[in-house]
Amino acid sequence: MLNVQKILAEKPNRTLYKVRPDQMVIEALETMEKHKIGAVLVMRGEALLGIFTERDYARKGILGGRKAKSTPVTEVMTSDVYFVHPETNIEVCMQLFSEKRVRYLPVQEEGGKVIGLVSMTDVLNTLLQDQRSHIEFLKQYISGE
Amino acid sequence: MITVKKLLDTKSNQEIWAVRPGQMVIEALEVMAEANIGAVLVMDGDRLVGIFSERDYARKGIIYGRKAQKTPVAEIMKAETYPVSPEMDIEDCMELLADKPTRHLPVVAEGRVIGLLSIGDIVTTLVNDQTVLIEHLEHYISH
Repeated sequence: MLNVQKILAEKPNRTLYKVRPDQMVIEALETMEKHKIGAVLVMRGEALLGIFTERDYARKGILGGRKAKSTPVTEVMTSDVYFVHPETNIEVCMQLFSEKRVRYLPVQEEGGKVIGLVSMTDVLNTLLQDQRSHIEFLKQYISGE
Repeated sequence: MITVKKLLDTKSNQEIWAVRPGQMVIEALEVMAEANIGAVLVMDGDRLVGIFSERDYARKGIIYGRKAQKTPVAEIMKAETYPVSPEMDIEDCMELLADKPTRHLPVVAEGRVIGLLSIGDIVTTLVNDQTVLIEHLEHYISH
């Protein structure tokens, strides 16, 4: 059974990238560019306040008359976040992506601690990995190895 | 089997959104917001010259001092695209999206761009058609 735990385990980089609520949009963009990621978590200590994504910037930044250097990230972040848990099935993640039109799902442990972030790309990679290993198994089975 | 053609046919938003390479980034952002999409095709007449995405804007825009009102789309778009044809299938798209640095695949038939598929379109189709994964396995076993 493919679940969030498995998706996280297969991510090449599991580092959680965060910004503080008082940081400016430009600082969040710099963090995202530096680490080649599409979103950062906005956190006050251990508390998740929202996610700031490339989409938030494209839709609410300059089109809303806001400048990256003088806009706090809290003003344009998405605060309506959909959490998943380590046991959440991969299909539930896919349904959330599809129905809620989001690209990122923060992962919450029991007790509420945020331990990861799952993207659509992560889900796709896990599906492909899984198929490849099934295929290997079946090939070996068929050839009697 | 789910072909690229079928993927395109089942998209809720089938219109092809494009800008010209000389248009300013802010105009592309307006089109994307209005159409509720994450990327637009950049077309010089009938010729596809690139794709401009929210990612390009976030990564190559203001942090390099480029302003949306004064930067032509051509300056920060991705010129390298990964086209698919209508006969290809969803697995081909999944492999491309996993292996290439992109979330969008232009669909090209007889040299003409007829659509754009995103990673979101693929995920939605997978959710709606659970048979894809099984077919994928059968395909490999039979080869």
